[in-house]
Amino acid sequence: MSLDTSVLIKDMLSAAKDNLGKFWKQAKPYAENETMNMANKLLMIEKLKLQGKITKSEAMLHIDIQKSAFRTVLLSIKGLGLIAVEDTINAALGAISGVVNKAIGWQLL
Amino acid sequence: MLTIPYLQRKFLLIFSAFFLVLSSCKVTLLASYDEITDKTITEMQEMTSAFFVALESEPESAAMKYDNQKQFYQKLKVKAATVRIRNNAIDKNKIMVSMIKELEANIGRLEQLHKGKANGLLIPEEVALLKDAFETQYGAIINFLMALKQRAKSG
Repeated sequence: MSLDTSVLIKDMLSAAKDNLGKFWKQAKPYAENETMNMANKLLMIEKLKLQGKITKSEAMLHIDIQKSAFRTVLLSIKGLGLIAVEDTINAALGAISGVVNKAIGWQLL
Repeated sequence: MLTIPYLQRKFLLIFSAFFLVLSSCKVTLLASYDEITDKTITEMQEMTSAFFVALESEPESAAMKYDNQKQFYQKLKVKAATVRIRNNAIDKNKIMVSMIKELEANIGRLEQLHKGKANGLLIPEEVALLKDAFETQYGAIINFLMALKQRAKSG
């Protein structure tokens, strides 16, 4: 039985969305691109297995390698999202620092 | 002796905590950029790329058989373990540690694939898949490291 790429992409995007939570909106285009790449690689692995060029256990190892690379991409997106959140909080604190410091009378922020 | 009522005490405690948080000035959710991690990951990426380029250019060379590549795997695994241990010791570094663990696991899987080949050689179609996966993986880690570096510069 051949793999259905559209089902693969849909399932992976759903998992990525759950994993990335609040960062999903910004990460969506990148995640979609990586998901399509991943689905194509899974098809290639299936093809190699069907052609008898690799064994079942080798195919499983290849799939695990691709999955791990995909997880690393998701982790990177998450990290970049956290840096963006950090920047936003610090920019907000920076914006009010003058007013707060003036009101208190000394350098608090 | 002067006693502070319970609610006032609670208010003072919350105010002090708020004051302490504000006094720290900058909010940090992630560990700082680490130059040694960057250097080690870049070295690992160069070693891995050189390995795949050699496999692509001479796929049937005896030099690329698993038995002749044991040293490559050994060196790569030592670097991965070293960088993981270092990053484990750094606070607020869960994302980087997880990425390194994923990379370490994939190095193990690559070795397992190579070791399992009857003739000791990976076939070109596999090399293309593996090269792409490792490029994606190193790329994601380096991308994150570059963002941390940029954050350190602008901070």
